[in-house]
Amino acid sequence: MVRPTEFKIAHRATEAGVTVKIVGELDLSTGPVLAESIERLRRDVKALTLDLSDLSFMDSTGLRLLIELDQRAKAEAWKLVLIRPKHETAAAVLTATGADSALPFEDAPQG
Amino acid sequence: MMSVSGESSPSLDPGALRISLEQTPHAPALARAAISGFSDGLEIAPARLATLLLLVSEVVTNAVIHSQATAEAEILFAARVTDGGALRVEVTDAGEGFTPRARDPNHPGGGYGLYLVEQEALCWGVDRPGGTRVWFELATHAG
Repeated sequence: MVRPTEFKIAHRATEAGVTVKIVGELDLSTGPVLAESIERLRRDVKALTLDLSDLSFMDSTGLRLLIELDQRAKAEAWKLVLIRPKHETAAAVLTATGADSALPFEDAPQG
Repeated sequence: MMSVSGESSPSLDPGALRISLEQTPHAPALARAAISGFSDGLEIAPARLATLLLLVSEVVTNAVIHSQATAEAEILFAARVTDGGALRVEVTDAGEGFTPRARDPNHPGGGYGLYLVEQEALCWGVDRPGGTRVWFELATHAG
């Protein structure tokens, strides 16, 4: 009966820092997994790109994580870039709260 | 006419969804899957469906996080279409409950759940028949 929430995290080093791509549903069950990964990957890099383009769902548990990351990036002087989710079910929480304009979002690169 | 006994007047409408969920971090995803299946038969605009999944996830997350009930206590998740054509969702947890607020300025980033419900739902409320029940109604069509 337990349907494991689909969630995958992939990361790659770039010239500028590290890019973390997350696929699946970001919520109460998967948020802590992402927070822990980011904690590990973010060490010693000056820039972190979090690619949410293929995220299929996000709620305020995910949003809270993004807000905390943004606050830390500012306080610790590293660069955070968020790639906008394509799916409406992931973007709804961002548009409803105004976080899509308050957080450092960029559109997914073409192609 | 069949009479129903019981304290929480369960809905016997075959067109209604009524499931119980274990109080674990997986409860929001299970509730989303259930409401997604339930709404398959309804004509819901895609933007409304996105909002519906979001609000369900928020309210069930609150029930998991804030309830002081023991872990074995279950969350009752129910949904039905109202006579007015709105979708009504009810989430009841068995705990002592908390006093939900739309937003707590002392916890930045926290409390977005009910803020979102307040912003997006047609109407919503909290009552406590033996637990904390949070309900909301959402229009099914865009506009």
